[in-house]
Amino acid sequence: MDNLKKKFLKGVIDFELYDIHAHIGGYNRDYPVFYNGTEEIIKEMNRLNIKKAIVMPLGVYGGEWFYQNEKLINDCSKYPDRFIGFCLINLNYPEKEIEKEITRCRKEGIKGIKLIAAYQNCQDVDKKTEFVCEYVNHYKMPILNHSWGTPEFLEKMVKRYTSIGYICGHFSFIYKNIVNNYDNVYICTCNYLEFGTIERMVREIRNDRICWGSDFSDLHFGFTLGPVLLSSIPDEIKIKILSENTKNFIEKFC
Amino acid sequence: MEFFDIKAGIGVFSKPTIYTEAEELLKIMENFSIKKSIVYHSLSKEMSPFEGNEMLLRKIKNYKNLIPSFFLLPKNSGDIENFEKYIEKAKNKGVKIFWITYNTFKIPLSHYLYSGTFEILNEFKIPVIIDPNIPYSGLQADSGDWQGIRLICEKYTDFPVIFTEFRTRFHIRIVIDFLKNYKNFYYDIGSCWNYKVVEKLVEITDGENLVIGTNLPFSEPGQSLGMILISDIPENIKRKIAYENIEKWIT
Repeated sequence: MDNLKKKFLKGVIDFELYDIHAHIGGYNRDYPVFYNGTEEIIKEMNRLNIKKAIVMPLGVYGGEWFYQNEKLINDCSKYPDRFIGFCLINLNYPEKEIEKEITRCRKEGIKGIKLIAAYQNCQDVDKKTEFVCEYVNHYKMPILNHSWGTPEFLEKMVKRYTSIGYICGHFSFIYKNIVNNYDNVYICTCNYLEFGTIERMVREIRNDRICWGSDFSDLHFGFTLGPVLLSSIPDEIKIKILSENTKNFIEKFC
Repeated sequence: MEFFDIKAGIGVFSKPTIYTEAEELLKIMENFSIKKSIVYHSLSKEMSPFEGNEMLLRKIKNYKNLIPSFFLLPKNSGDIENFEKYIEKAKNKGVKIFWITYNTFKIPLSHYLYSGTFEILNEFKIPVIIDPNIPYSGLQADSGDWQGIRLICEKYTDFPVIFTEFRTRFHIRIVIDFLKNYKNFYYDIGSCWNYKVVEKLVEITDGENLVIGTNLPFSEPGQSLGMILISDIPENIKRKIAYENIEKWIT
């Protein structure tokens, strides 16, 4: 049994983690968010040895998105060494509003963009998403998208807007060729995973582009850490996924 | 940390799975520090409870760490002659737990109650797992028939009613109420992936009434086991959820 797995079975994680997909903000329509204060979340990050997290507003349906982004800006300003903020875009709003909000957030220190069309009753493959890509490409801002829709659409964006760091926000094998073929496309491990997914993921996808995402404070940390740390992949690849790859992404794109 | 998994299947399912045999399951269990598993047969879950149940006993008879569980249809369903005798025989054969998967067979949970099914289960004090998910009908969430479960918990207070499903998201608000109000209501924490849910439910229950299921051979076991392993709760409570809470009903 490998070392990290042995330790995890005792509840121990003794190396620094970098989290590519997380949320703060305290509320969600779907469920009560337990222990949701930002200070409590920082304490939890300390307990689990999470050095930094890319964070986005939790109320992804998009109501009061300006307010949610404002809260994000405040939290990221308070904890600049721990949080890297990606602002929430509500794709139902006109392009001018979106442009204005991205500009405002960028000036306030927000580093990237969060898209989640499906939860806002919008289409993943849509002109509005392309508009966001085109606009932020100019500022070299990264985008984490809940779903890029089809691999064809993602590839079209990657080819056309080359300054963006692209993150596939939830794991799916449909994006594997794009991740493998382009230097600026990363994939988050977060999703419901069928048995053996981590081992297959590491076999089929370049190991320097797979990044652990916890999806806190939506999901339990154990739900996303368990599959990686209990998997049968070598320890050095676990460390890449849980730490090094996201650290490198942040240094390169944020 | 050692685990007692409440939800693992063997057999040939409608869609290919990573393993089918008991021996293969045992290897996976060893790999994930799962000491014991409550096991069901694919045929019971998907098509024919009574034939699948017998097949299960044949397949796992040599393995003491695999605990047999039977799927049930309601009393007087026409599938078997004498429901009461069936339960008695099952108990004598070492069956420790029964499954009620009402949606799979399109029978309201309330019918299990009013047909007298639970009356007999109550007599034998055998725990019941209620799982509302229908095999292969998508990634289902929040499917519990809470009115039916409420009636069962209120009427039969002496044996555990364990609820499990593929995913509880919205319904965690209901689960919390049940855990507060019904001492015989148990919850598979592997069903809910929400942030800090283990910690919150432990705060409510002191770690009682919580158990863990992996959903093998379908799900990655690390998902549910990971939630116990790194929760911010005392070690003795982790052991309760991981093992002891279900063990006390099985042995």
